[in-house]
Amino acid sequence: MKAKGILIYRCQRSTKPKYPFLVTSNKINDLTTTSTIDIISLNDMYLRFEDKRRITSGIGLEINVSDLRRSDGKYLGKWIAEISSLYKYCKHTGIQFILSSGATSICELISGRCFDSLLKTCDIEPKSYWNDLDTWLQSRLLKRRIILA
Amino acid sequence: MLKRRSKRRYIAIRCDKFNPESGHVIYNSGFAFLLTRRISELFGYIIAQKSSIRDIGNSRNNIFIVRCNLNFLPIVLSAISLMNPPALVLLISGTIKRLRINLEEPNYPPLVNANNSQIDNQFREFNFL
Repeated sequence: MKAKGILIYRCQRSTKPKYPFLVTSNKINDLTTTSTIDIISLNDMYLRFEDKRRITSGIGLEINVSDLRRSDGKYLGKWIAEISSLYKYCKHTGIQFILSSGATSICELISGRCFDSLLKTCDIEPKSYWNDLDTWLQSRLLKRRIILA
Repeated sequence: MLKRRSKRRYIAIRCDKFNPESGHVIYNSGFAFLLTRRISELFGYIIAQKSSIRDIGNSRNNIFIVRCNLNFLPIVLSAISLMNPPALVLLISGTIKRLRINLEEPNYPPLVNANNSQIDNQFREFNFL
């Protein structure tokens, strides 16, 4: 299937693809060998060792900025430090690190330039991050036989 | 040696949930104070002072214009994206005049309407709505 446009939907469960979509979940326990989950959203930055082992290579690990901005400066600094170490871990293990705005309204969106600055703050090179994300998205959608036109 | 004034950048920010405290007027909405506080929490007081954030005014009720030092623009931008209440950077410009012109006459199609209609149509076909 050739998908037009650039919108990729987030779904809780796998359906028949008419438009490009990715399956997301915020429970690591949902990850099984037969699950079709593409992205795991993290609510808590501190992953347990068992949880880390469950997330296999190729799965996206998502952190929402909307969760971060609710915390105070002290915890926010801690989270940013954790993000940089988590990114290194993801790079090492082949997990795709995804930093998402988690926006539910227009004001919660993050502009491109702000996003790049935020990535640099987290010790992530924006160019390599976007390239990796693009490659990962293409490969993930290609598994469902969806080609972005 | 010439003492040159440091370059500045003017940023238009949309923030819907920010309520200016009583006593703050148009040219001192309190938004710059909030942003400076966030920067000082994240990067320290020295950086917060060096970035010299000032309120310039709010063009509409929910759009605030602030000025900052160009050298500290990346820090300011990352702090804006981590602000609570959430804020969205609309425009960045070197002069206040150009910023106001661009704000009044945006040279891009209204993003909200275009995206909303696109999403609505596709979701209707997908039977989500």
